Amino acid sequence: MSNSPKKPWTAKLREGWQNNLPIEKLLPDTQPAYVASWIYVFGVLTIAALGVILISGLALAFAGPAWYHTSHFGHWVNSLHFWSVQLFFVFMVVHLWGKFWMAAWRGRRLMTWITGSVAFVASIATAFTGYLIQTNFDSQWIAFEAKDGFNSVGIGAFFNVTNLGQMLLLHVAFLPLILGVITFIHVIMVRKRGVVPPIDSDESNTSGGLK
Amino acid sequence: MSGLFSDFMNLHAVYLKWGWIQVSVTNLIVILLMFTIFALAIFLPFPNKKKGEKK
Repeated sequence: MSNSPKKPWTAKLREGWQNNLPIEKLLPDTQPAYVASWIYVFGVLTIAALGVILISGLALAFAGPAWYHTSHFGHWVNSLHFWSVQLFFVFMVVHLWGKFWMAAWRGRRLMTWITGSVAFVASIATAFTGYLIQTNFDSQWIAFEAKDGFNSVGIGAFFNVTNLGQMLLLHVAFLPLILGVITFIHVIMVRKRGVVPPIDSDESNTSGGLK
Repeated sequence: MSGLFSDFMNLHAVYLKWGWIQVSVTNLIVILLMFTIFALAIFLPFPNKKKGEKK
């Protein structure tokens, strides 16, 4: 029998964390030189837009439709939520194009690419359910057009777009949680593997970078 | 609602069709805007980039 004491799970977790994602990688104070390009800004712009969406969404959830459909400030927060979603998608699509054309899955970054792709799909589902719970003629029209599509592929009974309660709960509870977790993992993967370099760049060139 | 903006927002959507491709003018504008932003992000110089810095 070995005399070495068995490590508790807390020590294993701590050591695994320190080996895989040291704090210098998690919260860096410099970036590689190749990050000095506008195309590298769109990931953080997407997260910033997501932050505005979550904060304005929380305000809408707490104050309720009787407030955001009737008061001036409620209309403003409702519009802020809507337009930050539009910007979120514009930023995310430009981010996606940028990463696609620089083959961002290189250098053991496949999980970064996959979590980003899943976050994109989850965002579409979240935005779609958001359109369905506007409680106006627009949402009614979208729901009744979409139900035929979902019925035609046999999932209308499980995902009933005309069920306001189901769509509301999916939009404010389930889907934001899924999107938040995937986005968190995506950002952790970016920090773990580093920001992908342009195709013709030297990945080791981290000197003279951004402060 | 009244005013120029709301009058514009209350118009029927205009759709363009080429065979099986159909897109609203509104969506086409957004797509072209994203192409423009993408091109600007690639070609516009980034501020505070040091001179002679390698890629």
